[in-house]
Amino acid sequence: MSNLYSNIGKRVPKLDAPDKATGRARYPQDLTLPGMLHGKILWSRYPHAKIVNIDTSEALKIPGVMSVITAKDLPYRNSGFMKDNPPLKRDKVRSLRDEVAAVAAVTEEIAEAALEHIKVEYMELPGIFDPEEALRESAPLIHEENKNNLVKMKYKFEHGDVEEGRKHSAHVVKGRFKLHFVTHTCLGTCCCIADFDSKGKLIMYSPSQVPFLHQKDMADVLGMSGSDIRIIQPTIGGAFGSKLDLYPYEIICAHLARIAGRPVRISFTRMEEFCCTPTRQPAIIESEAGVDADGKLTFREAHIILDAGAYVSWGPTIPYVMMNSFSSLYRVPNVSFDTTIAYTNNIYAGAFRGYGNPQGTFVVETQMDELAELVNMDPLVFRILNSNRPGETTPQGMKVTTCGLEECLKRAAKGINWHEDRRGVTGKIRRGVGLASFFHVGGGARVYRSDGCGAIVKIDDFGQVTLITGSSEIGQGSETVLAQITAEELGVRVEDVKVINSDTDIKPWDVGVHASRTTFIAGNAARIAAAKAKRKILEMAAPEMGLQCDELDINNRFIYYKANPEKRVRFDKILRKKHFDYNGNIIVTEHFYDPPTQRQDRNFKGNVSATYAFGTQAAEVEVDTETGIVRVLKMVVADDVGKALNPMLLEGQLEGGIAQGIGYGIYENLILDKGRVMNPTFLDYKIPTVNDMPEIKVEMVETHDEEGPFGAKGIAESGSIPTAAAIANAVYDAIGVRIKGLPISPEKVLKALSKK
Amino acid sequence: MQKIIEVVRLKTFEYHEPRTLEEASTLLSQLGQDAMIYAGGTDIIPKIRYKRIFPAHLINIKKIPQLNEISCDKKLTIGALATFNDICFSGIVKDKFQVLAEVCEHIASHQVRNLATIGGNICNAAPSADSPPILMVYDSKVEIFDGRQTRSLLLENFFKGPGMTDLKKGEILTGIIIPEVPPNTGHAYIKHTIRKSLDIAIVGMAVSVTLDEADKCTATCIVVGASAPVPLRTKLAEKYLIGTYLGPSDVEAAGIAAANEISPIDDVRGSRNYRCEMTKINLKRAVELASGRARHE
Repeated sequence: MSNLYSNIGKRVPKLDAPDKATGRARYPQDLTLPGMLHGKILWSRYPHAKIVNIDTSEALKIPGVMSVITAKDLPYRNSGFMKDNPPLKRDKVRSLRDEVAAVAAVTEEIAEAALEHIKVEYMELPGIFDPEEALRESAPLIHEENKNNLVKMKYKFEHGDVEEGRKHSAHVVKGRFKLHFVTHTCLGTCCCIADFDSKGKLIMYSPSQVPFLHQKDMADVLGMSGSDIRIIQPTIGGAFGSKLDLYPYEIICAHLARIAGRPVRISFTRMEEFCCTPTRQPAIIESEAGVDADGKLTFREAHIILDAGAYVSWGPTIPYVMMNSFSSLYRVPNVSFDTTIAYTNNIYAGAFRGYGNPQGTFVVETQMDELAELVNMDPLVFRILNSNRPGETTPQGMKVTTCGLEECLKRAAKGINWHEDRRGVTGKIRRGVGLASFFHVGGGARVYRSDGCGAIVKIDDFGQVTLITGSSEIGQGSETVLAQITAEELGVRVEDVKVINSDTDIKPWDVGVHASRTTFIAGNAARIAAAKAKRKILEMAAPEMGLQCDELDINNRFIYYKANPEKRVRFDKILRKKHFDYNGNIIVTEHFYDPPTQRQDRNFKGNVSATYAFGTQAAEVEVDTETGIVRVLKMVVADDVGKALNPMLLEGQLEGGIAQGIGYGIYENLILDKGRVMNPTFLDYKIPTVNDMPEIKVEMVETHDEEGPFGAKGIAESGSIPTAAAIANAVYDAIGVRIKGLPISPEKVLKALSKK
Repeated sequence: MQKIIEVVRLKTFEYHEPRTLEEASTLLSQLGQDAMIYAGGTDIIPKIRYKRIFPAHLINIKKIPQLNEISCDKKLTIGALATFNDICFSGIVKDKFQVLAEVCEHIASHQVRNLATIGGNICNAAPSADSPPILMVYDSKVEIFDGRQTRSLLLENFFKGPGMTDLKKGEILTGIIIPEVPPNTGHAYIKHTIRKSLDIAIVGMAVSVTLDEADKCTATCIVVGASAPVPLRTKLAEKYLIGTYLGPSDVEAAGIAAANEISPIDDVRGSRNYRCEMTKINLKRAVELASGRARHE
């Protein structure tokens, strides 16, 4: 199969790697505009307080300070999913990351020093830091205009009859799981530059991963038209979902620039990045599941309690995806899922790779192991028995076309030596293995009316192909894969393709980088635009070569006669000739690809994605029963990738995902005490280092999806979805205790062992 | 512009680069409490950046020659400015003070080890620092110069609390002296961390054990890091081992004693209870390692 293609399936190194490795890449922090000022934000001193007065007069007197703004200088326009978040807080603060005032000055040092001269008078209010406590009647109100702290969002899904399912169950498991705060730890901290041109139009240099949504949101909050806002994306130092929303600092930056009349940059310190950016959504999950005597799932019932934090960013919308783990990861006839979401005075949660799926999968896969044990089946066999197959429609109406889950399960198990007896290992250090699978959208996700992406292909006189794509490069490698797709379709080499993807004034519309959609959606757009370009080239070439269009093809930069490949001509030669001929022409083609999918209805049913990705991870761990320390010895990941367009990048993306998954499972924990981040440094917020990473074996299961570009599915998020669950199951295998809260810390392990 | 200077001065300091120890000591005496000795800078600079300290003067002693030398004639002398990489790559240290070399190799990151000095690590007096416990069980002394003369002090008596030392006005730590290791003596250090590298000890456990021909313990030194205001020598625990054959019940009793002697805090790295439990476990494991090495020799 692989020699069918000259660019697809090849281990092409990332096109942006040399620039990043040598320091040539220009991140927002590297950019300086003439006259640029530096903005700094004054964060709240209290997690919950009334703002009685703000006195900025002393700060304004400091030479070098160009403007100091507070809510009084801004129009009443909020941002966020529920439009509850003012860019600068007016009457009260609701969390320690609340923006109270901002300064623009000629240097960062002066701006920072000026913050200390802003006098804010607060009246402290009692805070609430637990979502369940927040819903008690006596709880202090976080947003007074609401009568309570309940966030008015509900994700309720029902399918079949859970009571009926329960009646037919031979065994039922029930548990309460607690998922914690973690943060993205992007190498590039939040940073943007706002610059107004002489016509009053705004240019934002922004690390946004959804530039077109950003443009619209920015326009709304600034009271401008979207056409007045141009988003330029410099090299982005990581996003993982953290750059999916528009945040107050970006709005503040624009206001500072408008008021100061000069470009302004705001760049977060690492400590601000830890304390003042959104986290992964923490969750309390109460879940029940049943199985009949034959080992078939009978029902699942889950109630999710979410701590939104002080404002609603993307975090509280994650049940939309988490629901899939419960309804669609394995075949289950009866499902009930609902949510309770509360405001607290904690820092708010946002989107993070997996979007609720790591949390949901941790619960579902823990309970799969518990059920397997109750029904006395091998967890592998039990999973295969209940796994999805091609042709299935899940309770949420998701149509499974290609599905390699069974093979993924088998290959992951084989890779980890599933059947090896590790019970022989006795003593203080025990070993165990665990499995966990995932289900995720793999062909886009229609959460907006359009799930499309535009692509333009332009070819110059020298045969250089430019792909202008709506999608964005955030480090995931999309530039490289899109260049491969374009090159393959056109019959040129990867190095002939240049990808332009960083300017909303140039590139066509795209929803953005989310839902593992770029390879699939932007890939299809690029492929079809390239196919149109190829058709035009062949139409130009046919009369020149005295042949019919259909008799010709392009390979390795040559247009050739299919019946006699010796008869060929370099394609750029044809392009030049046709360009400069009388009535000349050039090659520019476009395509807007919007997948054949549906938005979900009010009952959360609908085929949102053109295909679905599946996969399994197997973990082997070692647990020190005296210290409680868990080390991951080996991970095997087997993913149904549709078709591996670039095995090297795929491996890198899965390995990176697993590193985040291991972090989520055993190392990372953003510790909050009364709303304050207690470990805002890389010393105490522990991401796994290279020494903590185990051997990772990547198995690619290719199911050749019909709708995907060259058969591919999106798998970007998948690496980090089932890792924590696989580790937790391996810990149980090793020491016989179930840890139902993450991270699996030494102290939790010892506590569980002592209760055994 | 006057105002800018005032504001910005909050974050700046005057920088001094003496060429002799005498000069450095004089400066330190004259400038008083606002002055700090600067060596590797890996503790001072982050503290300044995070606004935890506001020194008005930094006295860089790295231009003073010979302060980074490592030499050995039975006893080992390590200059205060020797970096952790100087120490762990030193043939003498690797050969005769192997465990010290190993400990230095696992402190922080390679980049930090290229800069951070052993003298700085000691004077920073963090209870969780890795080098003091192992140096203490090697029976180390520190040499302190006050501008005129040098005094020496057992490292054990140098620490007075978190960030506090026995250094008096104008005094500079210039070196560490480690006596020759007695025969049939083994050492061990267990850095109890969540991660394998780039981590800080939840408990640091250093042990030395000296055995006689019959493998009876004739001398031991046990120092626990990160579990008290100072790296703590647990003398009561030692008593449970001296004169024994280091059997399981002896070691367990020593562990319980050590856990009673320490006074750990609850923090984001670990709870008080976990630190006490890990002191027992790591004492057992360190004694096992050290006594194994004592027998080897």
